[in-house]
Amino acid sequence: MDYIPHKSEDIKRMLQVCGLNNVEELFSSIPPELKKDPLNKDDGLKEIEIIKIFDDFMKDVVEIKTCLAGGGAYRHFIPSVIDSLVSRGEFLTAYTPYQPEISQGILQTIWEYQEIISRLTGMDISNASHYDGSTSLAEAVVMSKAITSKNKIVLSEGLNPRHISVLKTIISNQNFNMKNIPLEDFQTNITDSDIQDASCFIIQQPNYYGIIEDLESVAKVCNRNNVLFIVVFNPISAGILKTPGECGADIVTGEGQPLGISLNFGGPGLGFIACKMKYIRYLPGRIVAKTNDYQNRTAFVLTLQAREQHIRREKASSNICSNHALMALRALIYCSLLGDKGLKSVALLSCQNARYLKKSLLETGLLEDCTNKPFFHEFPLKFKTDEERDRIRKKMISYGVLFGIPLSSIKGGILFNTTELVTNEEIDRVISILKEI
Amino acid sequence: MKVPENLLYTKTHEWLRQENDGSVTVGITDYAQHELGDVVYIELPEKNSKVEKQKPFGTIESAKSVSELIAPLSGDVVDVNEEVKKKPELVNKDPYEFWFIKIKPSNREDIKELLSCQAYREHTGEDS
Repeated sequence: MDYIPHKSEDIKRMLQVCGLNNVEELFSSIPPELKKDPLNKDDGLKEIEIIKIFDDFMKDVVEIKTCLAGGGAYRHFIPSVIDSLVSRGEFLTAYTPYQPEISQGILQTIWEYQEIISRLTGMDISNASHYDGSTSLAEAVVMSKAITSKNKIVLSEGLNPRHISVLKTIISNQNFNMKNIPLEDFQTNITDSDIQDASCFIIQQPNYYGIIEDLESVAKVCNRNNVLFIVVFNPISAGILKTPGECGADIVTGEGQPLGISLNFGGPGLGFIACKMKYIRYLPGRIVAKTNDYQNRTAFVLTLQAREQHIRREKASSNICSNHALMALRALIYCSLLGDKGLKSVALLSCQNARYLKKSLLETGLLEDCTNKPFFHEFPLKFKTDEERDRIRKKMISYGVLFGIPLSSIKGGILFNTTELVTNEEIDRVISILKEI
Repeated sequence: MKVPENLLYTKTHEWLRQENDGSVTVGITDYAQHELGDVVYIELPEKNSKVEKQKPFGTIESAKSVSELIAPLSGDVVDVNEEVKKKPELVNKDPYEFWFIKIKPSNREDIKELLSCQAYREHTGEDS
């Protein structure tokens, strides 16, 4: 479909119909003091001058060669086929279609994405995606209130602090009360009284410190107290861990960035949310279904729309009606390329590299271990002081090494991560730099 | 549009039948099912729960809309029609055969406020 702007004759004719002399008269009801001057006052820069500005800027930028920082955003390998496929105009320029069923191709990709998320999480049904892991979590919490009619939520302090902060913002005016359960040696352990009268309990797998939680034990406590069990899950870990569904989760959410999405200075991300079939009418956002048309051909449609605000109006439990289609498509292509075996390799390599990094760092004698609990591809260590940690992290940047993330909850604490992209040679290089500085 | 003589009605299109055991059976009218179109899902309260007069006790969803079911009386839910929950399309077939819940009213005076067959016909503009 072509985009045809109005020609000046069209505008003139429309103004005539309205009885106006010029377009500005359309805005005459706005007080003049509120009308800003046009923004681009100068003549701008020539292309050559713009390139020079950026070239100068790049002189001070250090290229990160080795990334040992995670904390919710992970630098995995991204096959180049993803970029070339999502750059196709049919995908790149399409907003969630307003007459959805006319765009069968888009709906098919969303449906396939939903299938993949359902499998990775071990849930029955996924929606078409959200903005990021934090907003998905907030939607899951609102969902649990709608299902249980209770407003008390309990969460593990193993949750990513950035998720907690976004969650607090989103639900701040919705009459919730929130209780945190502190970790015991970096792991979550709850009792019946911890979650009494709660609508849901939220845990992260692996947790913010990279430690693998015992989901099955926590699920038992939730189930016998009729509390919904929400798991925030790293989908890459599905390569080697049991899915949250297998462990008894009711709703699973998380950040889909590790599935083929680059670290673009913090966004865009991909929020996923999936649940058991019995909660489907409380699942927010769009859901695509596969069916047959009147000639018995396979067709994709938006389904269960009576949940959504454009039909349910003020009674809808969520006002989300959009999704992150392009990011969901990246995740879909990534998972299709990797398959079960590929995902397992990525998870296993990330996990093995983390073990080599931890062993090597501890051998220098400069850092101490925080816990011996099982971990996935991320783990906490500590320097003697915060000052020593900060000095070394700063120094490491000049060598092109992003040396972990500082942990404010532990004195001298620092959180390390490796993906499949960090080689043993790179780790050895980091260790020799560390010994020098 | 069928509006049986022996039933009582509400302005929100529920019908009621007084049973010999003192309970009241509740469903939705022919007019309501016709306005909704194909019913795809019905959410009803649990047996032994309480309902409150003029408050929602469930929802009814058709292919393109969703409406609340409004309790005509306060009381205890003594029975729930599981068949209609499993096969919601039965409501379109015969809305007076396929009831939703049975209530044991906590205040029988509430029944006096309900509409007669004639009053309900006038309310829906089907007075002929």
